[in-house]
Amino acid sequence: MPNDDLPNWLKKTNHLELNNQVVKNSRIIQINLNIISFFIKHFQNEPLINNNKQSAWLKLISMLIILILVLCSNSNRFIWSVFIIILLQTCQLSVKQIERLGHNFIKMFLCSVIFVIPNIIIGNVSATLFFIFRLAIVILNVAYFLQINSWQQIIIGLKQLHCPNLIILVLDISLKYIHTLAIFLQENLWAVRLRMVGKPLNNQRIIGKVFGQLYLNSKKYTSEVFNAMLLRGYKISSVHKSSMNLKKADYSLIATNLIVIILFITIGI
Amino acid sequence: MFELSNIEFLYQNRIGLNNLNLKINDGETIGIMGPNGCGKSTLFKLLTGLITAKDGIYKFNNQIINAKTIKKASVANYLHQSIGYVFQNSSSQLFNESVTAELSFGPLQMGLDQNEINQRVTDCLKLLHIEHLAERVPYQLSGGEQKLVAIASVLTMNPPIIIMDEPFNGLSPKYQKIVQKILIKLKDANKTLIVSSHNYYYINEVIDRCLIFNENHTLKNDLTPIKIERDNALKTSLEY
Ligand SMILES: Nc1ncnc2c1ncn2[C@@H]1O[C@H](COP(=O)(O)OP(=O)(O)OP(=O)(O)O)[C@@H](O)[C@H]1O
Ligand SMILES: [Mg+2]
Repeated sequence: MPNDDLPNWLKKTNHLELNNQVVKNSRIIQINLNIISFFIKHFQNEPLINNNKQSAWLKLISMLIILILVLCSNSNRFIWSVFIIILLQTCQLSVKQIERLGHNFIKMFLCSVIFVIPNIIIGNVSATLFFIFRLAIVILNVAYFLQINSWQQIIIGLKQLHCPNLIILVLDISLKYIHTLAIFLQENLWAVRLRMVGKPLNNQRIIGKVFGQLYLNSKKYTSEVFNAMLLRGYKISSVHKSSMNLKKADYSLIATNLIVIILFITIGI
Repeated sequence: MFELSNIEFLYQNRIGLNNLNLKINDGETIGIMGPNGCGKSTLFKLLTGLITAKDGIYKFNNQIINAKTIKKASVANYLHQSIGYVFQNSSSQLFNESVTAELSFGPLQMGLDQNEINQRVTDCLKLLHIEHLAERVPYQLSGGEQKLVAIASVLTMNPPIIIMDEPFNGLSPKYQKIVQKILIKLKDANKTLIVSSHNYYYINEVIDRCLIFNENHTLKNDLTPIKIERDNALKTSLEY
């Protein structure tokens, strides 16, 4: 076929020179890319987690117990004791995990404290300080929980606690789906960036295109993930691993919880 | 052209590429093979500067590419304009509202004039035998059609280096042959090609060298097709 030959312009191979002129780059794409890759990293935090010794459901309950008791308590002494207990638990983590825990804690804490700070100015300093302290403990507790649990384990924990299947299904799909979508968005932005050479033209329109694309594809993805999960018998699979057996390591966690409860009854109220 | 020394890439704690040393010259055509998850796509993302290695040195035409230099718009533009990259997953590569807009996006950014752009778009649609898709919406296309559009959208920019991650995936035999022929012609036009494939016989006529990775994310072999043809054990081991 005559038209199978390469067109003439494509036969020319031009090597470019690195041109050190200052070119205005598309900042928006880069900023979005940074946000997305940060997000993806956060969702993939499972490799650091080696704490599978304790049952997922028990860890979940234990976190909730501490959370509720701390929020219900008005006693400084009780909250201090809980703080020490969490610190003791933290000591069992590896150095790297502790590093990340500290990192996450500081980030979450600063974000939430910003909303509380105005209270100090308005008045009632001591109450606000107590509130901030309590907040710190709650966040530390949650950060610790997230450090020893992957999303997968949280889902397993919910299953073991016999949460309604529908809730679990929705949660599980959302998590898987957000991750897939984030990866899709990252690749999409990469594609834009690779072809944004020379002088970038109207950024806003391109961002509009990318998000329009994301919306269209998200519809496709949700139904695909949903169908795939149903086809593989998602509902039936909740039988798997759903027994609430106690493992050896669980007893220490139960003991910790009992201590916290007793402390709450004696000094916490 | 490409020079990698002691490159090490980690995804969080998982290895992507392990101590890679590699040199690719101008005008060479390279095949990349290896089992699933051995790091082929990771290598491509590294070469195009989408990800950067913590350890090791990557030089593109003597320009060091790392997390710092790639932030410079001049370096990024130079790299991106020199290399055309067809993703393994084409659906995430397409973001325009029509196939024609998709193909003209790159040349438009490069600042070519409208006549030239239209010429390039028609030529590429014809070249890949996808004229019938011109007015379609990319996200509604089938997987194979999306792959063809992605290839065309890279060709319209006419980069001197073209990287294709499994371009034959999901194509019918008719289109496989079309893409194979195009690759051979691009090679004749003196383009640098880097193509991954799970089937050696899709690329054997195109490539000068075949890089074979193993499960440990390590570059194990760097062979010419003549050597591979002679080595029956190797040839069977290439059938993953
Ligand atoms: N975003 C990511 N996060 C974490 N690990 C990843 C990511 N992408 C790839 N990997 C891991 O890195 C390794 C190399 O992946 P890569 O995609 O480069 O493989 P590949 O050789 O292209 O495989 P295939 O033939 O299936 O396309 C794999 O073990 C994979 O699990
Ligand atoms: Mg791949």
